[in-house]
Amino acid sequence: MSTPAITAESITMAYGSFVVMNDLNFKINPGSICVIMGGSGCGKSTLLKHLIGLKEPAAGEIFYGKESFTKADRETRSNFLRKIGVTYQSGALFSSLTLAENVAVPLQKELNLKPKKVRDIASYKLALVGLAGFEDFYPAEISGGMRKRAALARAIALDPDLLFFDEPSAGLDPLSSARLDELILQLRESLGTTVVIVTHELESIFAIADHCLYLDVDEKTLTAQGSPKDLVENPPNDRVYKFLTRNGQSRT
Amino acid sequence: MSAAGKTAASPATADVSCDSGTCRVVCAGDWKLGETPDVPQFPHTSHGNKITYDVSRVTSWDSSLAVFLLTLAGEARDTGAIIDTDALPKDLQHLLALALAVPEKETGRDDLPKKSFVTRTGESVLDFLDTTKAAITFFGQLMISSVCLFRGRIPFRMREFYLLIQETGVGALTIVGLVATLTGLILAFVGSVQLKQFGAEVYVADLVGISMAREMGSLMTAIIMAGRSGAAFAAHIGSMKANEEIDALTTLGIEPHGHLVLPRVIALTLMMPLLSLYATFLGIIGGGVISNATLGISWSQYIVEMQTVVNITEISIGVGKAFVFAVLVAVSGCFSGMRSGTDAAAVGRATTDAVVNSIVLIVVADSIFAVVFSILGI
Repeated sequence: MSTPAITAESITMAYGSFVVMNDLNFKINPGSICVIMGGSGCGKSTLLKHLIGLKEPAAGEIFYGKESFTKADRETRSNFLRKIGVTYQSGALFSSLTLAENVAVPLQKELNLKPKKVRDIASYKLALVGLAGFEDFYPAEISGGMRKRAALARAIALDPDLLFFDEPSAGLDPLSSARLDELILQLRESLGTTVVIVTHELESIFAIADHCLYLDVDEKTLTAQGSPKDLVENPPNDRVYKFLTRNGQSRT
Repeated sequence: MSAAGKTAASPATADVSCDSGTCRVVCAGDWKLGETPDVPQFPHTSHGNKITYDVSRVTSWDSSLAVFLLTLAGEARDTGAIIDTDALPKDLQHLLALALAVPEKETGRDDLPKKSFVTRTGESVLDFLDTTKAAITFFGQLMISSVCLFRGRIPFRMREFYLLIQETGVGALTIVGLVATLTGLILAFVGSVQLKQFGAEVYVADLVGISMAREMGSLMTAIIMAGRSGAAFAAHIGSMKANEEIDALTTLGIEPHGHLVLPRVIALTLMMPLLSLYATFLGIIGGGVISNATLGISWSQYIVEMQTVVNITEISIGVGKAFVFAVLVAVSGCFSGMRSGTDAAAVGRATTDAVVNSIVLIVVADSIFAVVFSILGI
């Protein structure tokens, strides 16, 4: 059995003395697409921030492969971060840079390439997300959905092993959302990327997720995990069933 | 991505060979971002040929191979060649198909004609006129909001107002005090060197007193407040605009000028004259320290001499100027914020504009004051 790409061991997330989630234990297999889901305010985005090192767990440990990410020194952590790509809820593009320059930022930081090659890679990444020809546009000149796609182009600039998405479909039209799902699947198929997505877009969950983690806001812990199909067919509790079926009625 | 069964790492290579109507591009080695060969040129004889790829000797690849093949395809297309991608692995074919799925947008950015000097000058003039018109409109709306406020037709949120008073007043005491004291010290020090030559050291008190009361107290305070409160107003309102909070206020029927601009203008207008007085006082103290320490002028001498020149007229002039400067700083900051764009860079520009415009307006206003007071003989 292969080593999980990410392992969370007894993670507790807290803001000061306010505990958001307790005792989270899960594994994400390499090359899989894992969706973190749950009701509003349950701590999905907070968990994502813990996984990418923007927040430290109050207790517990996160492992990338076999190595601890939580206890890693600065240099090791920097090496881990080199292998991940993140797209944020708002896109978080640098507004003073063009789209090509945004995508070029990680390329210039990590690779010693001629400007022409950097530009070619940036153009390719933008083309992958359907933004061919928009290289010289500034973020303020394109729509919110396009900004999100450009942010994805920046996140995949270095062909990361792990890709994290915070609400990727929010603000996208159905076609763009479907295209993004297709792109995520393609990246996984072609490059073997492990994908972690925070979303509550059921359509996306059922279309692409291999594994789901359900964070329960009332229980303050992970109450269900498995494939979306398994969770619908054998839900561990009513809340998961209601969430995945968009049904206010309890399972009978 | 690595091809199965391959072993030792080898540099990425790409060769083009053309033979009897077919050009063959052979790629080999490990293809990694940052370690790829340059795109080879197709021979001229390849015009109209078929181009095939052979990547069977590629041991591992990532996006670099896709970028290479796409660039190559672009070059080949220019020669009118037909590209056959059937020999590529399915994964790679899918990535290329995905990249080509949406046709490149014809932005026409490269075709935009260069603007002549006359055009650019004309546009700058029109832009200036547009900004001036907007500034006048803004000031007019502010006046209307003021009238509405005094008639009780718009609500005034006292809690926010107190916070603004605190931020623009108490919050600025340290920096204003420090700068004013140092200004007084500098004035006294520079003045003493000159006055000493004529044995008129005692007039350092006159120099520091008149300078601080009439000019430097209000001017230095205004410049500090332009950089502090004016910039903060622009950044705060600009961020609110970027977050569509201004739109939300408008659609809720709340007039943004009355809600956001007016409290700031009033708060700064109330605080700046007081800060100016405070700055004048500390500047005079600073000058006294130097007079006492380097010129041997006693504190009583210094104060008595000061009283002969610094009277209520001088103080009133300083306070009056501070009042006008406060209006200029507050209005300029809020105006820049309200005119800000909706991205982070635009908020930054708005903040810069606020500070630069405030300082220019302060200096212009001070010059006008100097001329007017000279004509009036005060």
